Amino acid sequence: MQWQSTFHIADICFEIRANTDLCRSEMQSIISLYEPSPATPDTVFTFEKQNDTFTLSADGETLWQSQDSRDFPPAFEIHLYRLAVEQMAPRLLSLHASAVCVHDRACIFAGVSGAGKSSICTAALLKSAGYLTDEFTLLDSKGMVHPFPRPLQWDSIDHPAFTQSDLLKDDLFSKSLYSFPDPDGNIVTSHLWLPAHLQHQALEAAWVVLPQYDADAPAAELLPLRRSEGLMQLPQHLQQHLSPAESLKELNRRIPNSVEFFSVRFSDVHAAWEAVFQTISK
Amino acid sequence: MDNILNISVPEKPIKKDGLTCEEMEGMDEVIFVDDETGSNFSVNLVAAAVLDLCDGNHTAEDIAGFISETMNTDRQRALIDTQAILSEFAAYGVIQAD
Repeated sequence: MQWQSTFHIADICFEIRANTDLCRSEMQSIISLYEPSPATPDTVFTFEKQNDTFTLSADGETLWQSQDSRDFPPAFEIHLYRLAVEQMAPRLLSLHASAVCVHDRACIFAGVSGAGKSSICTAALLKSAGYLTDEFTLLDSKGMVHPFPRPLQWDSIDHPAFTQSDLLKDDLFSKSLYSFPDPDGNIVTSHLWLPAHLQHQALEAAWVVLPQYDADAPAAELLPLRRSEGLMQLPQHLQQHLSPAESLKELNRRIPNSVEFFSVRFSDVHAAWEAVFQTISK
Repeated sequence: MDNILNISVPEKPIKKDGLTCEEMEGMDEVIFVDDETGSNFSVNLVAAAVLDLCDGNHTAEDIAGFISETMNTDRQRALIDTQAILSEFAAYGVIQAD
């Protein structure tokens, strides 16, 4: 065994064991935001090199096999998230949404890819909000949001709304990356941004914001939504399969009546976060 | 539409066998595919929840109670809407009519 690491995501404990140092720094970057765990692992990943072949397994089941070690950081990452979400159900419902800590409570941003949920999350983190997640908002049955602090990821080193110096200033983020060949053999680089202000404890859900980036919109237009309107938008973002009635029932049960819903249409993500922050701080 | 609304609905409706439900991210509607014929139709989430509850165990009142509680709406209004939705489902053969 060359290295191993044990960590937890919400109440699930994972361990990874490797007999090679290849990909070590990349895999450790992927798990660097999760807290170490002394618990017995629920799932053990193994990453092994035998002769010229690498194998990634979970609890003895082969997940990926290849002779190119660069395949393994993304394979590990995808299967880690898949298994985490699967094993948390039904205790924790996973919503494809970002979430930050503001005033010791959770503010959730739910939207389709491209709606701007990760961008508005990043804008919030740049204003010192605490990081819960950018992709997996975990709701328990008591209205609490549990952290799933995976690294924020962009395909490009530059983001239209944030410069590298913005992100690295004041040590709010550190960065890492891994590269891998896509099915056509082109090299893809995944840039990992690691927020410094992590929220490690579960927080009461207080606000749900439905962002919609629109280049033609005003800088930011924030509108309150009725609870029923907001709830209706959420089942499409569930990452565990439930029937329509079950989706509504579970979301209604897990999102407290005190939660306020908003939509924000924006062309400037910084203005969008400012509008959200001003409103929820009243 | 008047004809549709006049079709009677069983006390505890049952949806047609072989309907597969697909929720599509980015769409406000849910798509149901009839595995037997390949035909499909889309409905909003509340109507999808109503159809989901057509399992032979729930009356229109039960379903309206669920909708009313979940969506925080008036129970009588929810019952009227649920009955209208069930009548349409019966008219289109999505649930078994009396």
